[in-house]
Amino acid sequence: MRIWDTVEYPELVASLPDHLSAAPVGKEKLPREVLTQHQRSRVLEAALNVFSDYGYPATTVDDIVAAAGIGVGSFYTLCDSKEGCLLAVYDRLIAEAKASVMDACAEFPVWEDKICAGIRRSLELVAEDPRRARLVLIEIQAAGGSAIARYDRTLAEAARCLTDGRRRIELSQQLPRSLEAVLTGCIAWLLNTKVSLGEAASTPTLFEEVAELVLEPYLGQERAVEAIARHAPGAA
Amino acid sequence: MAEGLPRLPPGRHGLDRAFVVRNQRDRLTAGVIAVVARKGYWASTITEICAEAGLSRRTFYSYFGGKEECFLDAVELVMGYLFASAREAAADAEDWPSAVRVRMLALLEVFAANADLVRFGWVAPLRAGQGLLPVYHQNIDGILALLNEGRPADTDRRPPRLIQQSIVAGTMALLAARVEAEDEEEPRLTELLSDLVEIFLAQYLDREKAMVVASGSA
Repeated sequence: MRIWDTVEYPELVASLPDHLSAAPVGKEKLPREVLTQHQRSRVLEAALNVFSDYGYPATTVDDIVAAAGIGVGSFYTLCDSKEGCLLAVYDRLIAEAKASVMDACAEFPVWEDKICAGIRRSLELVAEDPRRARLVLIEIQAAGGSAIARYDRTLAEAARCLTDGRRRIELSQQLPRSLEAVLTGCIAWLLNTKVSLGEAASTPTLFEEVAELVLEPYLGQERAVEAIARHAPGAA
Repeated sequence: MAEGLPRLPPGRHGLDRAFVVRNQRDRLTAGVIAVVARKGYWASTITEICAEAGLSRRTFYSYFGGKEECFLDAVELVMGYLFASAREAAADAEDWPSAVRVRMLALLEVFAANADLVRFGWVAPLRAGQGLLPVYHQNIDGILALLNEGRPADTDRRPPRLIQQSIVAGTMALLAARVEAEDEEEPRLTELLSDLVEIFLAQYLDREKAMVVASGSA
């Protein structure tokens, strides 16, 4: 019987490959990289919890190592610093979110459908895990220069998905150059607000309003509303 | 605002108490704005604010119980100042859409001349963690109210309040990015006027109308 059948372990640990359960402790040398990977995941998971619960500024490295059940020395071999730890968590969460959103968009060839699917999926992600949302939207901005640069880069990437629309749609009129920058700021604020008010669970209800806000400049009111209707809950 | 006010000679002077109070309070306001804009809210200290204002800690404490009180007082003063500037600019506007345009121009001019105001009101509260988010949201609401003043009830569209707020937030985020990117010279914000007016008005008016007003050819 594996040790984690009796003890409650966080998901990441319980998902370790089988070869780690077979080896009796001390008898075999495990590959160093596997151990480090495992420890790193544990630290990042613990850091996510602690950063979200206490807020980034108030969290100390001691809080993180206590939550992760490792020594301070181990912490510093895995992460440079508290900030480094936050950036690592942030990068991982954003990579996962991006994969999820791109997956949702993949089945749609038409730009406006991709955008609708992407918006819908993003709102769902916030509702599914408000703690992760809090870290990538709120806590990241409280951590100084490099962290803010990461956040800005994420928004810039999102803006590029929208700017894409300019080439893919036959626009009926000229659009303001700053449009995409403002729109991504709008969406960031909306998500930030839902999370900070403790309303993350109802974020998906914003879908139609957000999609219309984003699509109307490119498509005009009518086409925007049609596209949104195709993605409304209960739509075919 | 209160930058460039000369230091009063130390000790007693024959100036009217109300004038001294106004002068000192303004300097503390200018001080907290400058320090918070530079260092963020949490890293700012009363010592630094006093140094910036050229006043003693004792004087600080005769007006404020602590940093937070000073900060919130300054927020209120900044919003009041922006409202006054916007109202003055729009005094002769023909209609609400053109009022929005002149108000937006007034805001951009004030922010271009005082980039610290953007950092103080719309960047620092967002980067201070959860605690100051209500201040940030309140400041967004302030700008929205400023632009919406006198809006008729029968605009072509009536967007939900949340969306209106988000447009202001997106706008301020853009200004914040500009201000950060060009922190040595006066940031070129007024060139954004037409874009920002169009984006704002297009929520309420048909896009063609919004574009005409935005371009200033209405």
